[in-house]
Amino acid sequence: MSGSSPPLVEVRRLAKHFPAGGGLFGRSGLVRAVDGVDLDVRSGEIVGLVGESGSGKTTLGRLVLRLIEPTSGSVHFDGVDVLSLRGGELRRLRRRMQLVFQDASSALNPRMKVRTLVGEPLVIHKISRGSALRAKVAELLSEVGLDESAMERYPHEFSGGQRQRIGIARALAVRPDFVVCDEPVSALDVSVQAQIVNLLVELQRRHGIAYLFIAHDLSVVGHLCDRVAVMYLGRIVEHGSAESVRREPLHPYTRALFAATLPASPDEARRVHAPLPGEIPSPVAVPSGCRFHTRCPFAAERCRVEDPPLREVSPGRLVACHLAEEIAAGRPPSAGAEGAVERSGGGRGGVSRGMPEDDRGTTG
Amino acid sequence: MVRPMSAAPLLEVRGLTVEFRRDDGVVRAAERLSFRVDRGEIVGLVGESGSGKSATALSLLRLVPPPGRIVSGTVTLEGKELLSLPEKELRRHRGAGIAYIPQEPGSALNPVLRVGAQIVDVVRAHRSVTRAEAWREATLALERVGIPDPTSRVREYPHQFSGGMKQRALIAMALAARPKVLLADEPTTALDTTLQAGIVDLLRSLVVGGDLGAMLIITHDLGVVAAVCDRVIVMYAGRIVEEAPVDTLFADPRHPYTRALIESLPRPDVERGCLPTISGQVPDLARLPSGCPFHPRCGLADERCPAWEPELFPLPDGRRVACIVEEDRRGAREPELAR
Repeated sequence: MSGSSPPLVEVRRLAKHFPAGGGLFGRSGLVRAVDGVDLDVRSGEIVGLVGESGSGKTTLGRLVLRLIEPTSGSVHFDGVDVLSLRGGELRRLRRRMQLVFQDASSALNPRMKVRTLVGEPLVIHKISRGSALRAKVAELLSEVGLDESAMERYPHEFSGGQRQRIGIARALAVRPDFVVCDEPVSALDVSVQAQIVNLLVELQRRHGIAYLFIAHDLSVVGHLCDRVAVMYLGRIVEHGSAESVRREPLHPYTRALFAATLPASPDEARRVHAPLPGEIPSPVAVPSGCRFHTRCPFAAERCRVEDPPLREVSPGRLVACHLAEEIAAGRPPSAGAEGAVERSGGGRGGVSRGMPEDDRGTTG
Repeated sequence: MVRPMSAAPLLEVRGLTVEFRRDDGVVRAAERLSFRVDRGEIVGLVGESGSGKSATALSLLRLVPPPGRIVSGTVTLEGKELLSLPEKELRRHRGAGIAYIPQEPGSALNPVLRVGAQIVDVVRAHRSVTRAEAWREATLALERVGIPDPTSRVREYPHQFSGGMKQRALIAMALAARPKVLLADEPTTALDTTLQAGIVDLLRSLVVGGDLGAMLIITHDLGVVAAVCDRVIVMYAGRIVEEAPVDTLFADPRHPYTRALIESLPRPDVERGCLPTISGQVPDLARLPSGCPFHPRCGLADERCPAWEPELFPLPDGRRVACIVEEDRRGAREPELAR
């Protein structure tokens, strides 16, 4: 994790603005889905990307793979400018970067047998064919923990966890260096989640693959990732080692995300932090200044007008907050509602941790 | 919070068996389930997909859709048996006796009716009040579930509500019938992490505040259970495998399945890639293993398990566990307490 070798994936000032509205009522605007993101992923590293729905994390994953074209910014993969590639060059690069979907059942063609699904990337990239192809598919299936007999079956004959294994086998078929995993375990049952997480780690160790692991579940990210980037409304607001972000979240949004995470045991449920008021604003109407100020318990006048840059506050720790140091030192400028709150009323009987949600901005 | 077992339960389920007819035979989504929900209690019904928890919930109101069928059992609410009632009479108890919040807040609201109008329908279906009075009640209901500016929001349409607000509106709608028991099916699953905590707090406040007599939450999420439930019923393959107060369940799970489930939660202190897992997968109900349905995946299973017909052993602290191996171990540990 030392910064000596150049990163495998290097994202700079990446942005994707979609046109919004325009339709029936003639309203128009820009959805700033991704709005100026810098991110590095080093070889063999697992980087977590977390945020609420609407934060832009899925769009960012697609942009990095150039499955959608960015509005501006750059993506370099192993030193190559991904956005300048055309045709065959791009196809060759695609061999090295793959995607694992959240919903494997809709990502796998229901009319194809597993043999074809897993073999398809090998045929497209002209890696193998004929009997060699069959042997390779069998090997891939066994690598993800499926029996060779799976080859002649269709996706619907498998459980959710097994389908995710097929999706992983398909992504790994071309031996990529980098895989974007978009919420790969969110739709799975608890016991199956653990199996897939372990499988991803095993494959990463064996083949030295780097993952960009998109998730909303902080406990999975905390277990799995080397580094974590937290996204809010199209921007990365905090970035650091998974350990340091978990132990000492610096951005008020990150703190709120951890506070909102449901506990792993009833003991933990008794100590909770003040919740995050409101819901994520619409990316069509990004707030002025710091885009988090509308929900931030510490927001000061400066936050309403001045957009905070993502700055390094200690080696490897980046945060986009004017007040990060003051908040970390426990003396935020405004006396907010933040901090550990013992729920009143004995045990977990206490209720109403703070303000009601107000989401007027998200609708329409 | 363990309550004295003497008082009559608010809701009591006995011997509930639910079958589904499928192409490949008849499967049992619920097998002789018995449990109770006491006044002031929040009970969690926990299981993975295919455990039969949703079919069980729907059966309590005789709403299990065909080809599902309630084969036997009773559901008693405040001393009144519901499953044998004629449809017309049972309808009065749906909503006012037991209210149900479905899984998907997005699709549960009528998109072409104002949110308030949908609550008004519920109010007027259960009580004879004027339309104006019903609208006032609808506004109050929205306020009670924490929707800001309820007087204007009551006139809005569902699409103007975000996901979290829709879930709150559904809870308001359920409350409008003034139910004794609320049945919430995966109330947080469709929501972002940041909104889940708010909904969980709201649900808890409704029982603590006396708006509801009790609540049964159906969920696969152990986080929800830890945050809100008093007592937990764990289901596997259509059967109850363990029942315990929430603290005891997390601190000292007794059924091997419960234990494995809790251990498999991802944690930062477990070495990466070494999460404990349950081998294999949840069995298809049409091809259940013989004896204890968990035995092929169980680390404790011995030669008896494939032939042992599961029964729930009561433990001295009010718990119940359906494991013959665990029962033996306990008997050896606490000889004077074992049956």
